[in-house]
Amino acid sequence: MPAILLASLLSALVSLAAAVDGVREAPPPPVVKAPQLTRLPELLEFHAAIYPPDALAQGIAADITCSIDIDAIGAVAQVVVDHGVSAEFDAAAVAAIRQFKFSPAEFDGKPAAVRIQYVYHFVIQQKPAQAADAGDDSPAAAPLDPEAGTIEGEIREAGTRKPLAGADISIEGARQQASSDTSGHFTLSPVSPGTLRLSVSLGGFSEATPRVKLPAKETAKVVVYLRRSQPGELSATVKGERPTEAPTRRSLSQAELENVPGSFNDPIRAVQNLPGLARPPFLSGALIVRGSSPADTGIYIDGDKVPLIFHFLGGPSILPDSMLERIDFYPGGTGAYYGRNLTGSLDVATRGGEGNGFHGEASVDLTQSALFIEGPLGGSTRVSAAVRRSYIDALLPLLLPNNSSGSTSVVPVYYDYQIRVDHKFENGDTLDIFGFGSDDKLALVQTGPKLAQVLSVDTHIGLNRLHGTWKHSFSSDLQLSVSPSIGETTTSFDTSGTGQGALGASQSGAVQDLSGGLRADLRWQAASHFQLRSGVDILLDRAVITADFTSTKSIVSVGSPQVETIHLRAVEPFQQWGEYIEGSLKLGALEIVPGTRIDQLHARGNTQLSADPRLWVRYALSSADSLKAYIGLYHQAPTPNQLLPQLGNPNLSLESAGQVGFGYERRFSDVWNASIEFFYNRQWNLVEPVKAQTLSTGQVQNKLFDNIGIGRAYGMELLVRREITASLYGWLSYTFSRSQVIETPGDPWTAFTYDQPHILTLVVGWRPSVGWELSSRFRYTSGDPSTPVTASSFNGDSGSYTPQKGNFGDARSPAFWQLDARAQYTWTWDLFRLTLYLDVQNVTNHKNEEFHVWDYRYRQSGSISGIPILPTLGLTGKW
Amino acid sequence: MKWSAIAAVIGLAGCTPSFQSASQVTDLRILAMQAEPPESLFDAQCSDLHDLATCTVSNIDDMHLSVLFVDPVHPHQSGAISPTLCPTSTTSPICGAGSLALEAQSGPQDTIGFSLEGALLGSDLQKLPALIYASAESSALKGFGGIDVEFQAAVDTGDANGIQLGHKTLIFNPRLPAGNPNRNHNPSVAGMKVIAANGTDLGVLTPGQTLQLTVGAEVGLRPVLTPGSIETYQTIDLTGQSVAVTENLVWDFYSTTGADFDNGTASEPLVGVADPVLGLTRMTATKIRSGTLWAVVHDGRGGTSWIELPWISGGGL
Repeated sequence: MPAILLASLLSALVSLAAAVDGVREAPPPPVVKAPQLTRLPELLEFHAAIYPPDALAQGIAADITCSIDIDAIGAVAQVVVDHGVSAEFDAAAVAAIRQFKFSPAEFDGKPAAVRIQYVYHFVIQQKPAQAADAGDDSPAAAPLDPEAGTIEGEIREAGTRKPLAGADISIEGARQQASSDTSGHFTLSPVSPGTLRLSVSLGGFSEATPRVKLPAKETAKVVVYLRRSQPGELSATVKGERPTEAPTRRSLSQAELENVPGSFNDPIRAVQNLPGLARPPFLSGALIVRGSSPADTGIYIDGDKVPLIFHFLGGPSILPDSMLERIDFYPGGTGAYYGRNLTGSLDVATRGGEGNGFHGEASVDLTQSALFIEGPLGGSTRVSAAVRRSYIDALLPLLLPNNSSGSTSVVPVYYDYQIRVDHKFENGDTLDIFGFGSDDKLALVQTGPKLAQVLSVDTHIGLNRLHGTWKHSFSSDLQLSVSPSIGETTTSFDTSGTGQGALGASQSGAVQDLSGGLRADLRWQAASHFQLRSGVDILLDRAVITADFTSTKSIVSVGSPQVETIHLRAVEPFQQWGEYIEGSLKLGALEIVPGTRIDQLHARGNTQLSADPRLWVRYALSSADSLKAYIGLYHQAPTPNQLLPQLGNPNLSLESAGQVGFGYERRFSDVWNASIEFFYNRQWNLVEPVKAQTLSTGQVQNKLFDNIGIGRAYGMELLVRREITASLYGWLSYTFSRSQVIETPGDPWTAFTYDQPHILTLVVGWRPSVGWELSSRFRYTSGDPSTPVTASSFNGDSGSYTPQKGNFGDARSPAFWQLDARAQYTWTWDLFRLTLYLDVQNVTNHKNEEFHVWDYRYRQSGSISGIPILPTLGLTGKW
Repeated sequence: MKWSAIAAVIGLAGCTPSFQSASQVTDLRILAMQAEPPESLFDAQCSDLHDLATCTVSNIDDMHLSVLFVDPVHPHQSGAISPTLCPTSTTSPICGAGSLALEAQSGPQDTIGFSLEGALLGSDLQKLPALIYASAESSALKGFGGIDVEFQAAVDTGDANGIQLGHKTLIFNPRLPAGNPNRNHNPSVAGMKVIAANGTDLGVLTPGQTLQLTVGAEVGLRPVLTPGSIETYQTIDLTGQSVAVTENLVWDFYSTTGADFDNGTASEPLVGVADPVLGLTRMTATKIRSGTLWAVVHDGRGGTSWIELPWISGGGL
């Protein structure tokens, strides 16, 4: 037990050691296979159309629906009339729209071409009464009302309070008309005083008709909130040249991921529904990529490698969805930017705060509360901040049975915080500073009469990190980003008083890791067809380890384990230096991206060097089809506890992997696409535990760990996806994979712990009308591999029974399947929105085996099922 | 959001399959196996001190092997034991090819004991050194710290579930000129201290005495070891260094039907750790009847011992 605790404790150190990888700059080389819309285009410059004279004379109004292609710099490239009225109206609308200026849309944070729908409203401008009487259409020609005043107003979207540009504003019974500008403002003047009714209309929104009381010779101010009449934001289609990107990258937007049933509004958790990811163990948030150990996949926040991403016991991720902009998942074949991982990478990009007023989000449910705010700090500075705190420990006693036998449970107690400041300098440089942290503890919750039971499980993980990114453009072809980071992670446990015997002795440990990192990334567009990228990736760790525990690992023991009290006091430096260079060469339809990464590990008395050449290519068969392939070497350092002299082998080498893969992508339409990929990941020099042995010299060798393992994972991943649009989105993913290992030379291949040959996930989301969103997820996975038991024998040395086992993987638990569903409705008021959702996990109440247990003599066995049907009701308010 | 975690905790608590406790003896069970002494010494004449295969083994100390078994369903049925020796295996607890069959033993429940030397059949006596060789060679430690030979016993009382298999490790070591200071010895149980629920010491019972119980009333049990039962010896730790380690004794408690324990297994408190006020386990009679209590202790390196006490319960609470 203590060894397990220490191992888990030190495992944090492991990932910690790798944690200084990061920097928060845009990740990898440009590109995407399925780009995601991350910023809508905004209308910066509105031009009024010339009202067709005949129609105006006849008092004919019209709405012209157009599709506008906006290029990557925000200019209107093309206007197509979808629903016209007449040639005159259509031509006038098109002529006006062609002069519009937009801010460019962004895909994955980069400007890109986009198509939007826009409705141009032709509204008859009513003249003031006097002018009308004079039969003159020109307001300027009308005699001025000496009592006239002015109406100044803003048009905003109800609920979000975002300014709406291009809204048409008119006054019933009068001819004044105006349109809102990019900040949503408009002015109507001169306007005769009185109680007036405005008419405000904008495509995609319901018309608003607020009343305004305008005193004589004064200015009335009004804010009008428009409500959407159609679900969703807009429909977007990527135009132009397909950008480049590591071919295995799977990028999803926050909007696609946040409402996946069963994911608890947690986009990062929802990533587990993508191809290549196996179902994690019960109550675990581990990312099991292509059947490999979770430790083989690096987790980054803005390019900064972090030691953990989820709270304890299957809790939410340490970043709230409101702070996320994009999630990039690489199941393999990553470029040279990412290193020190044998398998994959997950990079979570955070977003800066909004600059158009303060907004926020608050949520309260039975287990936690969260608050998020964002807004401008003046000038070119924006800030966003969030905090979350759980209180399960206070509420659980109300739910546990309070009977005579009592009840004891262990629950996680956690909080997390994030704050980000973004600033843009006058010379165009940008700087963002992001600080975040989390704290997790386990709390004992007891009910019943045995409250006096002496029990303490003090397990704690605390994380605090700060990193910044400064970006500078030397020219349009040469950009530099520099991202330093510092962090502190504390992991500790103390099980004193948990009972008799070994655990009755002192059982405590703590690892405090101080880390510093630096990333510098230089990009040079040397020519239109050639880009070069290079950088450094430095991680410095200093772990202070303090532990007192009774070890049960003495080598000479028969029967029950022998106990040795171990006191650890160690300061372990752990440095990882990395340098990378990557080029991108485009030769017509062929794109070739070679790269190399060189890493150096410096642990105490152990220096390791690795060189990882990598290459990926993509060949566009047509504008809709492409082939892709990659090959590369990858290395990963042993964990710090494996290198610790007192617990491991300080002479371990790096673990190695060679990855190769190829695939095919096809875009069937603007929203439908599919991809298939085959992969093979060969691993060697894997660190495995070894038993003590007597050498021919008579000496006893007890290495504990050695680089003797080899592994392999291979398979196929299929993704059919309908990208998010106004009303429908979803995807089907299927993975066939095998993950096998030889832990000791001479042994046969056996299934690896996380080997799940078949993984099928179907996610569908539908927005039938404004406010409603329905979604569902179905998951099927092969059962986890296990070890069959064929007989047992009483062990006279230990007093327990020893099972006669087959090979691991010769048996499997039953296949897992689960159907989840979710419904939510959003009420929209002028200043805020309120969302009520019902998330039901395991709708069919299917009993999935999570644990297979035996009686003491392996005669009877039974299952422990996972979650039963589990409805969750939640409420979230946004403003 | 965290409802799943809560529900899982609750759900797991409520959905764990209910198995019979290992402390409840309801059918044929082997409860303990002992070798006295637990470590046998032999004379080794070796041409290469680091290679046991070059040694000539002689004068192997005999061992007295005992098997404690009980079949409450057939209490008067004699037991038959089929003993076997084989090299220890890390992959299977059951002897396979290369096993050395010993002479079958039989006798009344609850303990059958016999001499290893006496149970070796005829010429098999000459095969024991070869078995010790084979065991040493199959071990990664090549006999360092002791050559492990597995002793397997198949016990049959006619129980409907068939025979019961048990195994334990017999340790063989070369006799050293300066003696064998780390040689293990079986612990010894002197009695059973009984403690009332209010902490009152009710005295120490010795073998042959009867434990008086009251239905529904909890009593604490604290087995008493004879001095010297907990030994300190040299071994190799995680880093391959020689260290002194003190045995960590573990107790198993068994009873026939009619009484329960709150802990079926308990560790002997480490040196310096205070004794629990209410003993190592609490025993409660659930019915008015008589039965048998066993407390078996294991020292972690092959040594074991036990105490057997009859109990009788009366009405009360």
